[in-house]
Amino acid sequence: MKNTTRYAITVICEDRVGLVGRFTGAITRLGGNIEVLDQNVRLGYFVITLMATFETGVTAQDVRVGLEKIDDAGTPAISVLPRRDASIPPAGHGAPFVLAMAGIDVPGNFSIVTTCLAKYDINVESLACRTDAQGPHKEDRFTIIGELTVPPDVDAKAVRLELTALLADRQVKVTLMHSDIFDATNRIPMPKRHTEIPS
Amino acid sequence: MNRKEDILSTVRMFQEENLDVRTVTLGINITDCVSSHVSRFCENLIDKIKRVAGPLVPVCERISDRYGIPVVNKRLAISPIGAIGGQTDEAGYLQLAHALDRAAASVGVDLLGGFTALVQKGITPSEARLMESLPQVLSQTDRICASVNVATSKAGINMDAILQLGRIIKRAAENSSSQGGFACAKLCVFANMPEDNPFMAGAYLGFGQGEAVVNVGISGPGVVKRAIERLRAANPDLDLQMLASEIKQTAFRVTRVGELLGREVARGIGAAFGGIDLSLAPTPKVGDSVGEILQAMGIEKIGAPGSTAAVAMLNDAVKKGGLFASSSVGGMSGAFIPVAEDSALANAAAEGTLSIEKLEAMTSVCSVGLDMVCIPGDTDADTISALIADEMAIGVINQKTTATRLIPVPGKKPGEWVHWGGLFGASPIMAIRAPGASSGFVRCGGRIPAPVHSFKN
Repeated sequence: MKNTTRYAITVICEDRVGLVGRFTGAITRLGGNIEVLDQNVRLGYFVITLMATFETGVTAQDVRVGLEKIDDAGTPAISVLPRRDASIPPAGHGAPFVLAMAGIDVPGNFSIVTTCLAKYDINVESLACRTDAQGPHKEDRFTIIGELTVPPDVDAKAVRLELTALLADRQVKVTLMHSDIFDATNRIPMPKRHTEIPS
Repeated sequence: MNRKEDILSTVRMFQEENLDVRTVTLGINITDCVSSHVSRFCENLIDKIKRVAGPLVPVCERISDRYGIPVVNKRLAISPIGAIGGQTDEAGYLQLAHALDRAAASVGVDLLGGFTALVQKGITPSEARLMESLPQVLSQTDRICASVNVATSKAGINMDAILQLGRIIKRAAENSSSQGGFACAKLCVFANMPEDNPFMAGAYLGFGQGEAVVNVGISGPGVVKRAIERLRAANPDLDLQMLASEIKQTAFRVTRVGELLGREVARGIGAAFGGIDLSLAPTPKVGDSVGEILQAMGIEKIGAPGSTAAVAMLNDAVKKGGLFASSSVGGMSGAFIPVAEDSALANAAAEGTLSIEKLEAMTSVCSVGLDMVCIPGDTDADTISALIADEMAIGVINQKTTATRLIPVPGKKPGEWVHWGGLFGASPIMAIRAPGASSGFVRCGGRIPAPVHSFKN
């Protein structure tokens, strides 16, 4: 087996047509082999995260310089980190839950929610927030939807009640439900572990 | 990852549209509790119920908290006691009922079904005594529910049993006159009674169902109503096929919630998972009404022409969605139209747009039957029997379940109201046309033979 070095690479820049081709082409020209790639556009920004192996001798700086040349319209934010394994173990352990919250938009909502979740060792896997303007005479409203990993010893009801109490002055409705409920109600196959129980 | 819209629509079902698991009903086989000594029989029943059903409520609460799904009622259903009562006399049945009442209270369930007789083709002496004990049993206990299957499409209609039940219902109403005849709300008379129905008062554990079985009753009239309203608002050119499709998809989602929770509860208490009864079971709460669904479908006054067609479409779409969602759909699975428990239906009855005759027509295309229908307290027993016979005939001929829960409210006349509160709601007293004019027919007794198309062998 050849000696290789693995890098986890993240690039963020303003989105334009053709960026994926340019970045992956640059990796190929550096002799890299892409093992994992995840790309999306968030709020108009192109975000790409990938894991690639290069022949030993190709440094993180070589990769960074090679990628900087690609974006001729601006300076992309580039991170190149050496990795031993292609996959990173999950930060949180437990069951997948979905958090959905809606209420009056007041600065600090995110901080209150995430601080409370951290207190229970709940890992946030993804979190999205949307604010809807309600016109000049009404307060704006926010909606947060998140995917969480809740440790087995955490009482989901207690977390739900605490979040509700913390945000009581913002008329917030908090839903914290096991993701199986959402899978069961929105997908044709039942979540697998629920079909394995003999009936 | 689920789409954001899907997540929000699921959240909305629970937060705004009253979706809940209406009942988790644990069926318990009690055939091994039988003893020729009633006191020993009682002890055996209490021991077994405490042992098997003890974990039911805590497990339901734990899973409800874990998944964030409300479970409104936890209940028990036992083997049909009329079939195993042996030499038990009426006093003995009353003693058994009190023992079961105490056992149910001790494990924290609100109702226990299975004070049941299956007499579609004939009545055993044991079953006859059980039926005669019902007025006392139902008026002296809090949690005991009774049911009598008097007809099947295979056996025909046992008119002797129906004649006896007319008198029993009168006595039960009189015994509970201070509560508006409430004892009758705990007695269902069935044709083609399902063995895995989790809903009261007709739940029992059929023979051949196993030792301990969890059946789940899931509801959600509010979810269906809001889905229809949203569809209508978004589609001015809406046609009924689109409407049926929307109801079907909603039923699919609701059923899935029940299956998921039911399997978890079954695993938690070490019982088998029986199935889900996806019935749109209304409560008196506004927004949790089958009548309001009909109004959302465009039937302005419930009982107006078109009501039967609307119920037929609703019932069929619910069944189709449920069957696609799960291979464990059982019970009745359709739309319930219990007048007292559905404020929109009760109001329609008070306004006079919904009559007993129209209800009867609607029951020919939906689940259950003349359910929680309050009739004048002075209605004679033969007329009650005749009302039961009509409803049973609909079930037998159409090869479907039908039932009656008729409540002659002592001292009340047509148009007056009776109020029970809670899930049992309130209802106007509905008028009966030509009362007392059916005696010559029902007193013939005997059996109405099974219809020709029931012979399948």
